[in-house]
Amino acid sequence: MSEIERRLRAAMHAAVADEQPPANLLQRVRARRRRHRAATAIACMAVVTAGALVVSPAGSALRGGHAPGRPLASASALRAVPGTVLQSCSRQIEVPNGPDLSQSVGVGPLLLVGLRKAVGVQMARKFGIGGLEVAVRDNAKAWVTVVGPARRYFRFLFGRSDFVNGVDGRYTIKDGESGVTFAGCPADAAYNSPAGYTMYGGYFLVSKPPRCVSLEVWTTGSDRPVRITFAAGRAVCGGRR
Amino acid sequence: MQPAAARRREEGMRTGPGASVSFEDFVRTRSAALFRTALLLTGQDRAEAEDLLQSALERAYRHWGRVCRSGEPERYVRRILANASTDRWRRLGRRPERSLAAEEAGPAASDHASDVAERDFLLRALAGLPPRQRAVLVLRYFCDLPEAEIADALGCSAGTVKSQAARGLAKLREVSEPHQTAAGGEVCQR
Repeated sequence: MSEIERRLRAAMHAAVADEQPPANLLQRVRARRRRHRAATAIACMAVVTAGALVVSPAGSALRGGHAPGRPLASASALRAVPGTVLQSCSRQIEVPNGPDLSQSVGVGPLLLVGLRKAVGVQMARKFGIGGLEVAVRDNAKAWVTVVGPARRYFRFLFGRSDFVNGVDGRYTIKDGESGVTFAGCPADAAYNSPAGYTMYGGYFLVSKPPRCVSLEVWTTGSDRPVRITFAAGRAVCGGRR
Repeated sequence: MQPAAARRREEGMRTGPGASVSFEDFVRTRSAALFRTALLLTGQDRAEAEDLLQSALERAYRHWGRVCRSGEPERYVRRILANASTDRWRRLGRRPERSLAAEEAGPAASDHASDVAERDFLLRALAGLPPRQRAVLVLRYFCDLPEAEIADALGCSAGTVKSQAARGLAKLREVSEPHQTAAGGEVCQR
């Protein structure tokens, strides 16, 4: 280490050694969080209202042509399809430098990150728990539901605000959801990592892993679902079908 | 001296993948270190540093689940701090970069023999560096991060970190050498 490096290091450490953050830092952070939430909610309501006004004639025209079971919500209407849990703008996550999309499965505007390879599962009491990241194109909407035999042994854990605590084995299959609705944010509200997409993250529960899990994905702009299969744990599955 | 990385581990910064630490515990144990980093990143502007830290913690709080899952929440928050500090300066333009000329160093420069004066001089020179260079130097020499981790935090290559650090140090050396020479000269005259 050169002389200037040594002096700089000593100067920096000496200058701030006695500095302490404000005593009420936590309260201030929480207050800031509340303000941010309120601002986001207002922005979302404005977008929903504007969207509803624009798409209501088109929405009525489309309703007659839907396949049975097809969710009716438009991309702008931030409602979860029955039986699923909604992931909308306020729950987006930020992935610094963007996620690794090389192993993603893409279905229309939806990218299921890393599902081309087996998804790691960690055992928590009786169940395996794994993480899922999903990117949905801004303003688009996608519905993902568990289908086939996996309905017995697989659930999403996207609805729990405290899902971090889920890894300690507190949850069981009955606490999870069999489907998730992912709504992309308006472009100006998305964190944009990757650009043009909104990211969501959550967990899933699976009993007796490894398992193959089939999901059905509906997206805006398509009139039939796409079925994909992925490995929860080191199972050998068919991949995307 | 205990290596910084080992010290941070002992202080509980790393929680390990999958482990959970509450946001409250994290703020309680790590906010002092983060605040000191924020102070240096903002050129020791206390109000600016408090705002920067609150903003970074609020963003971490938004995605605490994911931040925790990474196993290294402090690394995540430090990354936000470093990037937000450079963005803020770019966006707000509140603090025009200062010249590093020795004659602008102010009263502290007159007390050449004092360690305090030298420290003050160096820190003011540091505050006058472009935000990116300053962030690199703070992360390298205050947080003791390796180049690869700094590159990851700032979203650039390790080569860029090296060149930014070299440029920053060269500027500091450039302005501190006349300062030291002057000090030496004065001692000789006595």
